[in-house]
Amino acid sequence: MQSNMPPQAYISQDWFQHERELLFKPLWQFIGLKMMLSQPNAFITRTLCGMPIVVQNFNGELRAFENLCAHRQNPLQTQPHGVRPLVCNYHGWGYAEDGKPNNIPFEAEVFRYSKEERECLHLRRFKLEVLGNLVFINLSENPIPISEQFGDEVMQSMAEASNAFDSEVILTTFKGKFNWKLAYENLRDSHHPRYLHARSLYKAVKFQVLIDEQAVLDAKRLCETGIEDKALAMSLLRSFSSGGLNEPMQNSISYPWHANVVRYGDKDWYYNWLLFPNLHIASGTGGYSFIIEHHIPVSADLTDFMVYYVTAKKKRRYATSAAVLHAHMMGSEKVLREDIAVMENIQAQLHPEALSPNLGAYEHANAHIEQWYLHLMEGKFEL
Amino acid sequence: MTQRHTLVLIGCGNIFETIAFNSLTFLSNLGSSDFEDLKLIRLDSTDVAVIIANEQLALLNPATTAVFTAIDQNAMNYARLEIYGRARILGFKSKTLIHPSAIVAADSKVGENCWIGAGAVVSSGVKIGNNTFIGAHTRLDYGVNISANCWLGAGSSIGNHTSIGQHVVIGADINIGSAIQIGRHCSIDIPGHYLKSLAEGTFIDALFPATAHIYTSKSSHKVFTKIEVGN
Repeated sequence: MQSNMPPQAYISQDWFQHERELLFKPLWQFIGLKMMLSQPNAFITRTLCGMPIVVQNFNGELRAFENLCAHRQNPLQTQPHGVRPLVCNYHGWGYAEDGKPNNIPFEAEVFRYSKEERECLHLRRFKLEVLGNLVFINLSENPIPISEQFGDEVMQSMAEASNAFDSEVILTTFKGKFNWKLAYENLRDSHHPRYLHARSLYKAVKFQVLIDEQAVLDAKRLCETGIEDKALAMSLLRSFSSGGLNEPMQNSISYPWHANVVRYGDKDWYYNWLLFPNLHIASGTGGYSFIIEHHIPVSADLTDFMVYYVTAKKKRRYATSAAVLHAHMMGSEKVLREDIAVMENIQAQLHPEALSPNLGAYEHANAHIEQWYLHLMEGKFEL
Repeated sequence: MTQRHTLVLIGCGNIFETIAFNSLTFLSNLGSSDFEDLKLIRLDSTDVAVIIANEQLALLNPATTAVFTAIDQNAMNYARLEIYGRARILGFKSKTLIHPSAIVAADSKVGENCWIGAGAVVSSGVKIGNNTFIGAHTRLDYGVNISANCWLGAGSSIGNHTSIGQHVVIGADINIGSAIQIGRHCSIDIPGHYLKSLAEGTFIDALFPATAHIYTSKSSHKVFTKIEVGN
C-alpha cells in the first residue's frame, strides 16, 4: 500500500501546530500516574501542547489546571513532582480546588480588585479522568467521553493492569529527535523486532506478524471511500487502542524479587497495550513489572520520550526494590536506544520532497490510522 | 600453642581481581600477626553467588577464619552485601583492607568489610560505614560521612562535611562539593563537579540524558533540586 503521508507531516512546524489543534487538544492525553499523586497537595507538572499543566491533589481530589498564576502568569509549581500547596511564590497567591484564589496576601491594601474583577480571577481548568492508575487530561472545552477514545474493553484491561502497579516508580526522559508519529508507527510494526532487536528483545520474545485479511481489505477500502461519517471516524479511533497478551516469552527467568510482588496475571507472556495517540505500556516479565512510555510531542522533529518503570505491587517492602527498578531501567535501555536510533535516522533524512513510505499488508493498523489521521487533518471530520 | 588464622577473600569482578593480585601485601597490613594463611574463593558471577558462598564457607571454621568480600558495585552494592551478610550470619568475622599506600587519619572511623584503595586519603573526622569500598586515589575531606554499602570510584573526591546515604554508587573522577547530602540509592556516573544535594533514588548516568528519579509515596514530599554539573 502506498502511504499518503506527506513528509511535511513529520517535518513541518506549521503542520505540527495544526495537528496540536485538530488532534491532540480534542483527545484525552496521558499526564502521569495516580500513585505519584496519592498525598494531599501532591502534584505533577507537564507541558502538553505547549501548555504548562499542573495536576494537584486537593484533599484526595485530583484537579488539572494551567500552571500559571492568574496574577502575573508565574508558574505555580516549578518542580516536575512534589508535595506543596498550589501557591505562587511570586506574590503568595494561593488557590483552592475550584481554581480560584483562596488567599491573596494584602488583597485589600495593594490589589483593590473590584468585585467583578475578583470574580474573574481563576486558573484555566482542564477535564481530568483517572483510569486505574493512569491520569488523563483533556485540553478542549467540550471533550469527548474518554470511552469514545479508548473503548470500554481496553479501558477495563488498562485499569486492571495499571491497578497492579506498585507505588515505587523510576522515571527518566529521552529527548528524541524525531516526530512523535514515528513512535506509534514503530510500536504497531510487529515485523521490526526480528531485525532491529535481534540481539535484545527478540531473543526473549519472538514477535509474530499476524495479517488480518479483513483488516487489510478494510484499509484498502478506506483509501477509496474515505471517512466522511463522524460515527465511522469515532469507531476507527476506538480501534486504534488495544492491549493485553501479546506473545509468549521464550524463557521466563525467575528472579528472587518476584516472590515479593503480586504478579499481574499468571501467564509467561509479553503484555502490550497501545493507547492512541501516544501511550505505550508493556510487561516483558509476564506481569511482574511494567514499562510505561509516554511520547510527548515537543515540535515537529522533537519528542520527549518519557519512560516509567514499575514493578507489580509489593506484598511487603524489600530492601533491594530500588536496585530492581534501576536494573530494569538499565536493562531496557538497549531496546529503547535501538528504537530511538532508527526513528532519529528516519527523521534526519526526511525532506520536503521525500517519497512516501510503501506499507506492507502487515501494516494495516498503521494504514488505518494514517487514513483517519489525514482525513482529520484535511478537516473531513472533527473530534 | 597459638592457633593459625586464615583470611578468606571471596568475590568476583574487577575489585576482587585487583585485591587478590595484591593480597599478600594486605596480610601484613591488617594490624594483626595472627593471619598466616590466605584463601581465595573466586565466584563465577553474582547470579548464584550466595549458594556457592554458602557451600564454600560451610567448609571453614568461623573461629579461625575472617572473611573479606570483594564484589563490584553490582545491584547498587546489594550483591556484595548479600555475601558479606551471609558470612556474618554464618559467624565469620569480617575484615577491612587498606592499601599500604592509602593515608587514613587516626581519628577516622572505618567499618568492617571496607576497602580503602591505593593512594586514597581519608581525612580527620571521616566515618565510613560497613561494606563500603573507596577506590584508588579517592579523597575524603574533613568530617565526611559515608554510609554502609557504598562505592566510590577511583579518583573521586568528597568535600568537607558531606554525607552519603546507603547503597550509593559514585563513579570514577566525580567531585562532590562540601556540606552536601546525597540520599540513599543514588548513582552518579558522569564525571564532573556536583555542587547540590540529591534526593534519594537519583540516577545520573551517561546512558540517560535526563536524570532518572525513583519516586515513592513517601519520597514524593521531597523537592528535587536541579543538579548542577560542571566539568
